Amino acid sequence: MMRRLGNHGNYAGHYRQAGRAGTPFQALMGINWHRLLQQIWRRGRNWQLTVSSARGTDRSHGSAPVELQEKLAEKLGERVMQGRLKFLSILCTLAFSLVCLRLVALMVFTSVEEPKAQTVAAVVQKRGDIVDRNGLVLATNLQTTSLYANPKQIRDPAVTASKLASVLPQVNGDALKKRLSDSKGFVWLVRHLTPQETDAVNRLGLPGVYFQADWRRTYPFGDDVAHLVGLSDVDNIGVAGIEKGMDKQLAAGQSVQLAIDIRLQHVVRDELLKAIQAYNAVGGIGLVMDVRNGEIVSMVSLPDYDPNKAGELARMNAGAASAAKLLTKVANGTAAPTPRMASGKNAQKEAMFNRATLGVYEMGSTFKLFTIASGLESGLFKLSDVVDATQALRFGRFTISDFHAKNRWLSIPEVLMYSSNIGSARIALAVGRERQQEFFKQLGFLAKPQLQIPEVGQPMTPNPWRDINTVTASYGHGMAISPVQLVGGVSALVNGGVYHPATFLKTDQALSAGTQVISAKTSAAMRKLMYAVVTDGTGSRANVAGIPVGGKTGTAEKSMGGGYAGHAVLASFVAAFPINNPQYATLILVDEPKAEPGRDTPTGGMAAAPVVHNIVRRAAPLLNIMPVDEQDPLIQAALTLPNGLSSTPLPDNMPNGTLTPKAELASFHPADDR
Amino acid sequence: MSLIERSSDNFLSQWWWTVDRISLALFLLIMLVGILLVATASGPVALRLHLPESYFASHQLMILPVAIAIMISVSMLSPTWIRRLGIVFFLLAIVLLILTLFKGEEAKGATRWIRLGGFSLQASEFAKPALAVVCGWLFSMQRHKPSFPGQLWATIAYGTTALLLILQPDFGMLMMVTGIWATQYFLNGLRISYILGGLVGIMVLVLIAYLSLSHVATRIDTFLNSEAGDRYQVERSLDAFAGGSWFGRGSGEGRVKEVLPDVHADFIFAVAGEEFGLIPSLGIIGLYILVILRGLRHLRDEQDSFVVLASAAMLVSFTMQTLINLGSTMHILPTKGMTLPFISYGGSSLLAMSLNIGMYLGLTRRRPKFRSRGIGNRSRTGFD
Repeated sequence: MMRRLGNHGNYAGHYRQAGRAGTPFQALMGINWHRLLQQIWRRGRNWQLTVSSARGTDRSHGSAPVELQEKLAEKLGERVMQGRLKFLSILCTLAFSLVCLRLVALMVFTSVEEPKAQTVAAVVQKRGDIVDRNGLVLATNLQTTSLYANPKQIRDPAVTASKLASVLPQVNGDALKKRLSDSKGFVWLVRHLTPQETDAVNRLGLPGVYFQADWRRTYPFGDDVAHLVGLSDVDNIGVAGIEKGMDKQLAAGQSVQLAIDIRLQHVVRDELLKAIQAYNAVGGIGLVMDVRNGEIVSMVSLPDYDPNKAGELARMNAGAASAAKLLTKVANGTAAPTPRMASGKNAQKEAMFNRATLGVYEMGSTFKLFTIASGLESGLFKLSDVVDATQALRFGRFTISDFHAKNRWLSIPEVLMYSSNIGSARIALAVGRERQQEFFKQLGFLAKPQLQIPEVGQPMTPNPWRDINTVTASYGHGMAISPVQLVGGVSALVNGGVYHPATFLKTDQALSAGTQVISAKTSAAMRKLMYAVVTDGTGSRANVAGIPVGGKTGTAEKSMGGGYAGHAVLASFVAAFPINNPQYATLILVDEPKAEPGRDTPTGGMAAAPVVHNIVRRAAPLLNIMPVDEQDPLIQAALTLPNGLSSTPLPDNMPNGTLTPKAELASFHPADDR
Repeated sequence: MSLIERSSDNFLSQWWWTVDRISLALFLLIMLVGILLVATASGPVALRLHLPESYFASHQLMILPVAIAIMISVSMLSPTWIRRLGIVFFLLAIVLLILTLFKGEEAKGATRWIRLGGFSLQASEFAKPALAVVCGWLFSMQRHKPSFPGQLWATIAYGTTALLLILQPDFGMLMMVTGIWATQYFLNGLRISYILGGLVGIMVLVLIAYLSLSHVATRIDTFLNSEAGDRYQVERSLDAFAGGSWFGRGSGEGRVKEVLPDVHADFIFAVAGEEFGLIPSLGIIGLYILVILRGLRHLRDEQDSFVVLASAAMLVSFTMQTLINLGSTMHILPTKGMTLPFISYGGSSLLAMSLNIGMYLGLTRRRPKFRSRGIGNRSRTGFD
């Protein structure tokens, strides 16, 4: 056994020094730092002290046994080890304290970046309702749940997407995956989940995927008022109809009450649809205006769409990203619908196109009402006057002829009843271009009407406006206005001569102030003339027993590629009822009714007048219109033309009077009062 | 229980009354926390790997009794037997480390695992306790027989292991074995000048590693510069702690486990923080602090230098692993692939740590002290 103490007990000397130095810290560490540095300085690499050198004097005296010295050294070495273990303990304590402090800082003093529901709530707010004149809800909100994600928290977008797609059949897994891989902190995944779907998604327990309470716009009457009410997109921003036109109020949560009567609306749409089906037409327009204040109580444009299925409409159209975009395009005129019904994309455009306000049409013979009214109002013509319709009117390189040519002089009522182009042209030329223009302007035909929906068409007027334009405009060609403008003009003719701009909003006062455009006397004469058209003229199919109806047919050839296509017509009938005391003006337009094989192309009297008949019959009870006895002397006085002008008031100088009008009417219009 | 009557002289009774029962209880408690955390954290990980949801949890639950058995049975050994076991394990580990270099499975640019009879084994995990025993023995040998070049041999043993780890390369493990060897050298009374010189040397080595090895550089760059590299894992981990706050999101409600691939292993503490909140998380750290400080305190009363050196190294290896894991998870340290002892999922590290702690518990058992002549010490350290 080795007893040489020189190589042993490394720190015995230190410890002794440390013991002397005596500060608690030095004792704690087991190291005399001062002594240590001294040793390093003095001895360099061999500073190591031995017990023997430290206790040199003892050794020289030989007083301490070697074994004892060794044991002492070993014991002192143990003390060094103990001190250093203490040092390790302190080191560990410090390290763990640091870890604990860091943990507290991380967990308590760090704000968590959670997706804030409020930021989303700003997008999703409850829109105001749209109600009809009786308070029936046309557009309202359903509480739904929408699904969004924080892609930063999605570890595996593919798995999340496929899981969502497994419970939500309407989503496309690939598209979803793409969105989940986004670098944004927020993406909508699926809007407007049903409670069942919400539950199914919740059960997946996907991280990074969240729900948001949402409102979904719903339209209880669907297609019935589609074009008027319009629709909102998925973010509840109006994109069409009242939803867009009144977006500010609706977005602010205010309700909008429309003038529309949903009951009447349904009747009009129903009857118009029947006519379109019966005549295989491409479309149709139905308008009913309250002549007393300009309220539009019904507006139908067919074809139409179900605003509740706007998403399907968008899918139908492969080209456009959404129905909303398409609607915007149509409204801006950049995607004008084709006049023909087509499949797919075009069908959708057609359905989205509001013909009643956005479409402008050459209205044809219904314009003769305004020509005659302006003639009467000008004082140049009386009801008893006659105009020369013996032969076609040559005007420059144009020849004006009559469809139902009588080739004789016609009284003013006959011009209307037989729908004489020649007669209208002569009256218009007599009244003059300027007065015609002024009258049209007063009736709102020359400017874009101010309506509460964005889909409003710009009327097309002759430019320059020459005499030939005055002639063609007198029977409704060469200028195009929208149906809503026409029904507004007719209202002014029958209501005592006051023009009210059309409005879709329910007005407070029963009678709004309007502009007097013709005298009450002229208006009364117009009522009589229009009544005669129904009782004895081309509009006989509009006749309703007990409800006197006055109107005017129109059969306008549609202009196509610069010319007129004889087979494609707009068959229209504009009417007012009850004509003895008009409350409502109505316009029915059937777009391109098809002839039955071997028969002539249907006219306004054939295709549109029966629709008015049916509407009046069905709507009168709804509108609180009481049947009257048309033979009542008072009513007869109000509606019958003086001197039987509607029968055979042939002047002496009439050159060709072989046929009596009555007989011809009978042959042209077989009695048909359904 | 008659088997462990204090007066009884049988084997089990001797063990029960001599082992540090409080430490044992603390280790078992940490294991219990571990299995709970693995159970809550590993489900989504397993599903992501298209395994049954309970795959990792049940796997861990199967290994855990084995680990406890190893820990307790090894703790029953006498220091002499632990020394012998350690030496055998050390030689085995060296052989396996060499084999790993040639036949190991490469993953992410490093070869650390070797397949042995259906098991994937990380030999370096077992090298740690073995090295602690071997170096502790060599150091203590020189204390008793100064002519024996124990320090040199210990350094050679360490150097061999370190070299094999550098070749893998596995710098996390290199840090651990360096920690073991350095702790023992420090406790053995290494001169302060050497310590300071060693620290400088380590710094130089780290610098060299940084400059020459791209993945170490990436790790450190990522840590120092928040813009550089993929900080995804540690950012999610920090989010998890922040989300946990005082009371946690609730058991099973954690979100970090859905997104982190290593959440059942290296980042398991983030799950604890997120789901259970601050107090239980501090409690878990508290368990580690208790067991470690108790151990170090206990060693101060120990007489046998082999016991002190070996068990201190084992305790330090346990401590370092805990601190490095916690530090990585909380972004105090660069992300290092190191498990949280007894809590993280992982068979190899769990079994190796059980061996480590089993040896520690065995060495620190109370023994009759032969203070008068010190002969007992020498015989136990295998000198004579």
